[in-house]
Amino acid sequence: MNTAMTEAPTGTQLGDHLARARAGDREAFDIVAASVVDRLYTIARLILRDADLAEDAVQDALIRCWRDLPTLRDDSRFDSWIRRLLMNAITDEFRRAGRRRSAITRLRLEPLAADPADDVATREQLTRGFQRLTLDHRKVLVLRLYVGLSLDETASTIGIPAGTAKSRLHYAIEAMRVALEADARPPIQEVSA
Amino acid sequence: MNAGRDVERLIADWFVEEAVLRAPDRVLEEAGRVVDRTNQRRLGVAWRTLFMSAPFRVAAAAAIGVLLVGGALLMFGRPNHSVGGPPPTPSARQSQAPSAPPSPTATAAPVKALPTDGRLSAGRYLMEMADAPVDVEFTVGYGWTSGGWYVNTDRSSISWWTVPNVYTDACIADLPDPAVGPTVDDLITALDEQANTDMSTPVDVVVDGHPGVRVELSPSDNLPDGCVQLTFWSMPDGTPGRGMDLLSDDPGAAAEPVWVLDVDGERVVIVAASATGDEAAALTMADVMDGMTLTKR
Repeated sequence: MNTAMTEAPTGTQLGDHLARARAGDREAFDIVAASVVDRLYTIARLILRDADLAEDAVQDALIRCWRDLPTLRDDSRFDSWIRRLLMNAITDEFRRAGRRRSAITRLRLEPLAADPADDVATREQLTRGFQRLTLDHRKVLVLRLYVGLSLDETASTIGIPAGTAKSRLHYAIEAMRVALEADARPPIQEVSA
Repeated sequence: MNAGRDVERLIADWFVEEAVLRAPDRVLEEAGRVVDRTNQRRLGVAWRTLFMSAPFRVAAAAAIGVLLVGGALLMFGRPNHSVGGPPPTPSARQSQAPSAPPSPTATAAPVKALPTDGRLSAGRYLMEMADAPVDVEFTVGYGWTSGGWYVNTDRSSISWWTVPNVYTDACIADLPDPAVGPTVDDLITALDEQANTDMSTPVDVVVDGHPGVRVELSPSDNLPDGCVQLTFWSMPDGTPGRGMDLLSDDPGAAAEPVWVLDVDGERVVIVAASATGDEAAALTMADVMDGMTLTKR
């Protein structure tokens, strides 16, 4: 798995800020929030594929983080905890934006012209395939293949059994494979008389 | 063209290419503005927001009211509707027995001290309120859990509060100085005047012979932007007390059923709520309320 995401410091460095933020220290919370906001935004943006929705989801997750931080008893679980808050916030944003998202998705799913550059064409195929996935499948793909979580961690972050995470991952990858292969079929050639 | 490729690798590489690694500054700024107006949650499950649909709320309120008033009629022969009225009669001790037909578990079982946490076995429990000289006894069936000062199932919760002050604005943690007065009416007036909260018309009630008022608290229409939770009152240590989570996934309008009682001069607030549309949970909760006694130490 890739290591594009670097985990926030969780030992004594962040732990001190977490402890103070948990006690209601706003400045300490600002430090905690600043240490995670980019990572959360990256994940939200990848899953939602919408800048505005991603911003709203991250804001929501940070607010929930502040509000619920006193309930976090084990600082070493902060990363997984905040990711879980983000997943819930992403779900909420996705639901709230349902109608608008559907309209956007329909527009984006219009066939695109084939691009002579293979890399560009592949990216477009991946984009189309990903946008056809449900939110649940997108979450599993991003957490597993981008963040690099194990299946158990992925399941825990989303709040589903590990078996369900495994089957969702399998389905999502297969759906992406089918999308890539379907889009790879050569266009129908016009036959001149 | 992609047949035979490692799809997982392809997707992973694509994620890396697509990733936007920096959040716009406004994300932190906007979140910070809301955080400034948001209290931290410190009260575990008792903070849980329990919603009741409007038709069911009316039915449940009516059922509870009938049980409470019926119990009072059985004990005293006539209802006492005066809030903050005369102290309980000597017969109040008789209310150690349930004031309505007892539930199967509300018999003369030994009273156990309420544990500070953990699942409860069916039976009768004694809770000594920490911040008021009041003992509360109640009977629960199976499926209840104790938080030390509240009990709950996954569908119902009852909590007992000592409320020293009420926030002027439920969206902002600003406490009035001086604090609200000590009577039931003082508290009800403050809740009624609280910004961003709507209070239902107060209904006089009697619980175990103690007069009081029942109201429902709900979010006002047109809440200000960024108000993600309401906090009704403070705790004796000055920290936020009961509130309502406006980010909850529960559908529909929220309403907190609140009893404010005068227990021999001590103001006791009870929040007893059940999940949306769950009639069984409401009746179970009503059973607990009905078998409750409150005694000043």
